[in-house]
Parts: sequence; C-alpha cells; structure tokens
Amino acid sequence: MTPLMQQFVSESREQLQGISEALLGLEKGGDIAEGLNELFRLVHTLKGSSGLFDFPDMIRVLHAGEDLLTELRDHPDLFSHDLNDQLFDCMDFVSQQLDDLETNGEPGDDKERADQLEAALRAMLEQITAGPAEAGSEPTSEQIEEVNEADRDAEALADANRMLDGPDQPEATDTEAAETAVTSLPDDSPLADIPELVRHEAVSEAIAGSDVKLVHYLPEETCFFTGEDPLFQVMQCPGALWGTVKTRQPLASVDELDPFQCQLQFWALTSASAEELDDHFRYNPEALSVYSVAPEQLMAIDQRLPHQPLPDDVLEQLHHAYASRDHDALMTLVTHQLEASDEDCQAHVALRWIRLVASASPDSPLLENSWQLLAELHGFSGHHDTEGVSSTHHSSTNNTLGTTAPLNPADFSPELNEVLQTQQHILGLKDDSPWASGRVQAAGNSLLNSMGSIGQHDQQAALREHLDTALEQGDSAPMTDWLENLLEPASTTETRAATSADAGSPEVDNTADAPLTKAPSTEAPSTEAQSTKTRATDPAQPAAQTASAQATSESANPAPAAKPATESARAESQPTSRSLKVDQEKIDRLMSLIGEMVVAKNSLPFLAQKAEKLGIEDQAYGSRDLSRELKEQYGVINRISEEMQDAIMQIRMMPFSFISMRFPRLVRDISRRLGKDIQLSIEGEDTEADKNIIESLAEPLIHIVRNSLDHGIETPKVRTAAGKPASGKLSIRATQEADRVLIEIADDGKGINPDVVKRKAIEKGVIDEATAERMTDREAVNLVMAAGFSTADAVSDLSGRGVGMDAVRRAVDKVNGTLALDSEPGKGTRIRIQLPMSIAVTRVMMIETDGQLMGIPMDQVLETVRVDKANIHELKQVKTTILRNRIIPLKSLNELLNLDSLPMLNEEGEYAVLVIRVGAETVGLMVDNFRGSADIIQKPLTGSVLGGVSAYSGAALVGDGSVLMVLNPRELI
Amino acid sequence: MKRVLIIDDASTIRMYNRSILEAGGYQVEEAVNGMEGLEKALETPFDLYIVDINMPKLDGYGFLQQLRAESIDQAPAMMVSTEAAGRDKEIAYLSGANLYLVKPTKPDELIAYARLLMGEPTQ
Repeated sequence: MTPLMQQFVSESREQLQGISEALLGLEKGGDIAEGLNELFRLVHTLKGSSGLFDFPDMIRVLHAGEDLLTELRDHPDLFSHDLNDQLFDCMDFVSQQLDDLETNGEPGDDKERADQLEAALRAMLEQITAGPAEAGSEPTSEQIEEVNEADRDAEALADANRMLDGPDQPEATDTEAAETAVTSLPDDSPLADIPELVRHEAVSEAIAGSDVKLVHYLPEETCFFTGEDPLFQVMQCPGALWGTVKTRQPLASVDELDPFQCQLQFWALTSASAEELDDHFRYNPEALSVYSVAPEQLMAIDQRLPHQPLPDDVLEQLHHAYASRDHDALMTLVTHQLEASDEDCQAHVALRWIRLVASASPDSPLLENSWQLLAELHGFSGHHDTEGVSSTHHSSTNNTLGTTAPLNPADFSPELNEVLQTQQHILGLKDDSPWASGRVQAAGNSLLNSMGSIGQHDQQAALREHLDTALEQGDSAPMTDWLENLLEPASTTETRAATSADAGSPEVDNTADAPLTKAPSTEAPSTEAQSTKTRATDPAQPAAQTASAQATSESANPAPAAKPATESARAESQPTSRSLKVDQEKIDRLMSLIGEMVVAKNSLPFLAQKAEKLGIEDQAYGSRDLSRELKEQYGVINRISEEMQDAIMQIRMMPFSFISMRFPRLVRDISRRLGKDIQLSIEGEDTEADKNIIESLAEPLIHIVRNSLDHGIETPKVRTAAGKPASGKLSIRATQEADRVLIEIADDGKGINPDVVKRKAIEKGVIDEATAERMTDREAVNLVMAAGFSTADAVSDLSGRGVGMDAVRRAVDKVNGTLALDSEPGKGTRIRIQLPMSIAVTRVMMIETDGQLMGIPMDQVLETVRVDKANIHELKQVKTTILRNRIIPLKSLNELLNLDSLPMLNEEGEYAVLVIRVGAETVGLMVDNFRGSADIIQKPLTGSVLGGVSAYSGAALVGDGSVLMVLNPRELI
Repeated sequence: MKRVLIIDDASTIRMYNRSILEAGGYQVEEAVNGMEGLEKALETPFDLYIVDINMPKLDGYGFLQQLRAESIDQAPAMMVSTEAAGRDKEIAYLSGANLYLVKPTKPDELIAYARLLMGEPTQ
C-alpha cells in the first residue's frame, strides 16, 4: 500500500466513526438540520478523498449517499429511521472495503452489493424528492460523467503512486516526462558508442511501443565489500540491448591504484519498463540513473564513416517517393541503392534508417526524422512542404520577446488559456461585496504572474499600469481592455477558446466587438464544455438524478427484503490499529527527559577520567569518593529512565472510548432486531489503559453486551408484566483504582437462575452432585464461566448467560485480569472486570536452575522458603512438604523442563522452594537458588520454533545484557 | 522557494497535493480549515492558496472572502472541489478564487497551473 492509501484508510476510519456518531445523534433527536449538515460534510469529504483512487464501487455508493444527503439537507423533516438504516448499511459497506483494502491492498470486488446499495439510496432519494422527473434531461449524461470520472481517477491514482512510491528518481515513466528527461542526458553518455545494429533494434522496440532507456549504474566505491557484483547486476538488467563499462576517471598509476575500490561505471541500453528496472536495482536505487532515450536520438550517423553523396538523380527519385508518401517505391529505391554498392558511407547509414522506419511503421513521424538525416547530408530541407514550418519547432517565444506585437494565443497552453479566460470572467463580475477590490487585485496578480511565467515581461509592465489605473478608478475596465487586446486574435484563430470560455454568464458586461466574450451559451457556464462532459443545466440536474434513480428503483425493490442478517457484524469486528495517536504533551515530556538524559550521560566520561587518574595515584580515599559519585550519577540516570519508562507507557495508553464508542451502534442494531427497548449508559470513557489491554478487551466486552441484550434484558411486554419499567437499562462503567482498571457491565434483566446452572453443570460433568449441594448461589452462577460449560445447547435452555463466557474469562486471564459475576434472579446481572493498567513492565522473581537464570512473574509468587531434605515426604508418589500446617505438593523445575540434573542442595542440606500460585492451587517449585527480583520488559517468543514453546511466556534482557527466559507456570504445571 | 498553503479538512487530499507540489519544488504548508488558513496567512503571506470548499469552522468561500476583504493577501488562489457544478464555481469566483479545479487534480495539471499563477517559468 502506498503511504497515500494508508493515510486514506486511517482518515476514512475516523470519518466513518464520525458519520456513525452523527447518524446515532440524529436518531436521538436534537438539532436535525445541524446534524445533517455535519453528516453531509463528512460523507462529502470521504467521497472527495476516495476520488483519488480507483475504487469505483466505493465512490458509487458514497456518491449516492451524498446525493441523498444533499436533498435531505434541504428537507430535514423527511429524515427517517429507515433512511438511517440505509445510510448505516452504506457505511458498513465502505468500512468493509477499507478492511479489504488494508489486508489485500485493494478494495474487495463486491459490485453486486454496491449496486444494491446504490439502487436503494437512489430509490430513497426518489421517494423524498417531490414530484416526478421532468422530461427533457438525458439520463445518460450522469453515466457519461461517471465514466470520465473513473478515467480521471485511474490516471490520478497512477500519478499519485508515482509521486509517492519512492525517492525521486530521474527516470521518466510517461512520454511527457520522457521528453524532458531526453534533454538531461549527461554529456558523457555513451550513446554514440552504441553499434548501429543495436540502435536499429532499439528503434524497432520503440516503434513497437516500448520505452527505450539508458541506464547508468554508478555503484559506491566500496561496493565490493558489501558483496555486490555490479557487472553481474548490470549484465542481468532486464530487457538489455547493449551495455558497456567505463572508468569513472583516468585510472591512477599501478602503485597508487586501489584495486579494492570500484573505479568503474556501467551503462546499459534497455527496453525494460521503469517498474522492472526499479525492481531489478531495488537494493541500490541511489546508484541508478535512468534516462529516457527518444528514438530520434538513436538515429545518428557515425561521422567517422566516409561521406559520399548520392547522385542527384537518385536523390530526386527518393525525394519524389518520400514527398508523395509512396512508401513502397521509397523502400524499393532505398533497398536498390543499398545493394548497388557495398562500400559503407554516411549516406548508407541514413538510407538504412529510412528502410527500418519505412518497413516497420511508415506512418510514424520518425520517417521524417530518418529522412532528415539524408537531407542534412545533402544539404536540402527534409520537410514535406518546403515552405512550411516544422511542427517540432514551435517553441519560438523569443521571437516575440521585447516586441509590442500581440502574442499569438494559438501558442498558449490550454492551462494559460484557462487562467486568462477565468480572470477575464472574474474581472467581469459585478457586486458590492467588501472583497470586490481584493478580487480584482488577486485576478491582476494572477495575470501578472502568468505573463511572467511565459517570459512576457513587456506585457507584464503594461498590465501593471492597467491594474493600477483599475484599482484607482475602482473599475476593472482597464484590465478587461488589456486582456481583450491580448486575446483578440483568439476570436479568429481559436474557435475552441470561444466554446470553452467561461464568459457565458450574463453578468459579463463587455464591448460588442469581441465575439469571444459574447458566447451565446448562457445555459452552459461550465468550462467542462471543452471536455466531453455533458452536464445538464443546474435546474434540470435534480431531474436527471431522479430519472436515473427511477431507472434503478425497480431493481432496488427486492433489496430491503434481502437485507443481510449480519447487520451488526461490522460493528463488532475488532479494529487493530498499528498506529498510535499521541497527545503532543506526552511527546514533549519524553523530549525533555531525553534532554536530561543527554546531560546526565555527559558526566560519565568525566568520571571515567577520574577513575583513570586514580589508577595512577592509587589512593584508597579517592576510590571511595569516586564510587560515591558514580552511585550519585546512577541515581540521576535511574530516575530519568524510570520517568522515561513511565512516559512511554503513557504514550501506549488508550482511552476506554476506543472500544466503547462501538456500543451505541451495537446496542441500537441488536435491540431494534430483538424488538427490545434499551437505554445504554456509558461512563468513564476517558479511563485509560495500555493499548494491548484495551484492544484485547474489545471482543470479550462485545460478548458480554450481546449476552445482556440477547438473554438478560426482557422484551417490554415481559418487563411490564414483571412490574419493571418497559425499557431495560444497560450500563457500562470504566473506572481506575490505583494501578487497576475496573470495568463494570450491569443490566436490570432477568438474571441467572443458580438452580438451572447447577443442573446443567452436573449434566455436563463440570461438577458432581455433592459439590453442587455445597455450592452457594453465587458460586453456582459463576459456573457459567467454567470451561466446558457453555455450549449452544446450554444457552437455549438456560435463557441466561453462557455464550462463550469461558472464552471471555480466558481473554481476561490472558492480560492478567480477574472477572467476577453477580446475578440476582429477576433483578439483573453485574459483571466486573479488573485489569492491570499496563502490561509493558513485568516484575519477575529470578531463580537459578541447572546453571541457568530464569524468571517467574512476581504476582504468582507467594513466598520463597528453604526446605530441609528431611522434611520432604512422598505421598502417593508425589513429593510434598508441610508449610504452616498446609500440605504443599513439590515439583522439581528441572523435571518440568526435562532437564536431567537433580535439584541442588545448599550447604545446610536444604532445597530452595519457590511457592507459587497456579489458578486456585499452591505449588512448591524446587529450584537451585533464588536471585532476587527485577523489572523487565517482556518480549513474546516468536518464530516457528520458540513460538510453539508454551512453558515460557517470553524473554527479556537483563542488566548485564544476557537473556532471561520467563516461565509460564500455568502451562508448566 | 515559493510557498503554497493547502487548506483542506481531508488529510488524504492534503497529503496528495503536498506530494505533487513538493515534487514540483515548492514549500508546502497545510491548514485544516478556513480559520487556521487565515491565521497562517496572517503570519506570513503565501505565493499561492489551494482551497477546499466544504470545511468545518470556516469554509473555503468564507476563507477567500476574508482574505480578500481584509487585504490579508491578494495572491492567486485555486479552489478545488469534487463538484463540477456551475453554482459552486460561480460562488468561488465571486469570493475571490482565481481558478476552479475539480478533484482529484492531475499532478501535471496542478503543477502547470501552480507555475503560471506563481509566475514561475513554464517548462
């Protein structure tokens, strides 16, 4: 994906979110007109940005949505829920396209869905536009425009990609740029060295449509040390026709020459495309220069050959055949002449070029170029008509420089014409606005600059006088006069200008002698007249749209019936953004910390110097002094790095709203589908937690909310019968408690029946009857989270929680959180999730076993004890010991890790035992030794080998630079 | 180096136009709405303004009217819009735009117009 596309995806996501909020806002009531305005603006902007790319389906749907909103803006009273549903569907579609774009690099091909949506929107538009379509508008005009738009989009995309794809490279990828690149062929280019035969081949390639390029490869002088083989690289160049090797400068004498430096430069002539070249040289793009070579540059004559003019009669015959465009005769004559003598000369070279072009493509302008070669050798004009001017010699702006003769507007570029005529139109505008004079001056500046741009400094000076007069008089007439003078010849020579002139609007008040400014087409004020676009006039335009809407409305009718069941599926999918939006303040804080760090670091060389001196003087007191200073400095750096760590963790913090913003839409969709009335309240949206935690929480929370809506909250009828208010309440609250984040989801639905849960749990074999007897209601309710409890079948019977609650619990466990569930039958259910705010830094207990250092997360360590060998007993083949009157099973870490050695005893004959908590169990791990605790930044194990090892949760670097493996006791035991 | 101010609320469009103009050798600054545009223009005037129409806070018309009425800068301005419709274009010209282009602008076209309006020699 290009950077532009990435930008587009991320910006569009934000806009979709804004649109979604605006749509929800509209449903809640409030200022409808204001909401619609905002909505229109967002959709309009989104459409505008997508226009940069070739995404026809997305643009079509957005276009239809925008049209609908344009109409709605004028009739806010017509807004309805059905309309909202439709717009939601469209945004889901766009969102889907963005997802596809991100994963596959292109939007999904879902033409059918786009058709459906577009048709549905158009049908709605038709419904709300008052009155039937008026006759007379061409229904195809819209389509024509769309086709043009698509073409333009594709072009723009290609251009944009070229712009953004990489560093500026001198190669040209389109013909226009190729012409500019031609002039910049370096002086030392070896074009003249290329054998005639190769050049013939290259010109044939060019005639066949390839771009011939000269590749210059200048590797770094040290390239041999990086394993590069430049010669091989160039020889392998795709599409190579010819190549040569040259020295960069005259070689030094043998004694001075450094054979390990690359003294060479490489040239190759190739017909490969720019993309192929980029790909081939992708590892050394900076060493590569690519020059486009126009075929006529290759059609040269080797001046070292003898010059023997052709006989006059032969020349006359050739000229006759050439001038009358009789290519067959020309071929015959040329071939005959070449066969007549086998002594090579310059004229023969020219004839061979004529033969090549005449046989390959006699209609190409290259024939003239090749003829020119022969003509120049014999000193006559090479053009078809001797009195005419070559079409290639138009750049004669210096002819008119310094004269007062009017410029010839026929020489003007289309852009210049557009600028001049637009200013003429602007100068003709009449109103009393406070900015009218500024407008004249801006138009004057635009004209002045345009004249400067084409080197017309005399005209510029004249214009400046006219502009001054105009501003003095407060009337733009002097300037319009000047412009008319400039453009006058246009009315006779340039008919195109008359039709494309923007001067059609009636306000233009001009003299009658300029036919140009009296263009009769008052109904077509658009300059698009010069392109093929046919746009209806303004008043007729809505009619055209309704007409096309009508045309598609028939196919639209079945669409609502076939509404996809996955209406809210989009709202649930997890957004994983790889980019972080960071508050500037947080970055500033980091910046100032780095500043402090730089200062603190500077004291170290000073201390090192001191240490060196001490070595010489060897004073006991001095070394204590130094040690104190070192410790002081350590303290400073330690403080800074701690603060930095904190600052970086702050950057990773994300607000809870990142997930919660999806709930209003989710609740709305589900409750509408289930026919339930639900009031959602969300609190603490700005509560922050680490990005990973927030992201991993999205899925479980949606599960819980869905459960509440599906099974918890009753239908209004049932609720009223039970004496509860008809509309159910769902509240989601996020709060921060010390370094934990607390999320509470509560509903006032029918709750969970503990007896049903117990029965189900016994059936599933999760617990036995005896256990069930002993269980409190609260414990029973929590059984829904037990693994193996929830299945689809359990849910329908239970009509309570159950769907994937064990999956929810696992997700919470994974980020070291806890989950508690309370439920009261008839009153409602409350789920509380506690999470750490950050998982970036883990505190671990370091232990040693079999000579290796390992870590165990501190929050799982209960205590460290030394157990005498005598106090270890074997109970049912399990080693145990008694600790404070509790039996603790002991496991040897070596054994768990499949290490052969036995746990080591210390001098007193004791084992080192680390008591850890694994779930509800307490286990003693026998290790060799304890090594204190440390804060580490844990990195997950990746790759095919380590990634599959579940005994470790990750690895980290410790102070001395060695790697510490962090154990995962849950998996280990 | 000539300076161009791009005023558009769509970051993708800003990035697109910026890449084209920077490749053309111009110094580019951005503003996300008309108000910010006016603030930047007040600070240091630019050689060319490229202005979107629909923007929050202050739209493109409002920006140009203020720019021209308060004589903040009378440098040439291009208005860019997704609509080719005549009405937008007329309002643009009335408000003080000097050219009206339809998005997405083609790179070579944008550069050609920029050069003309800033008085840079045509190539």
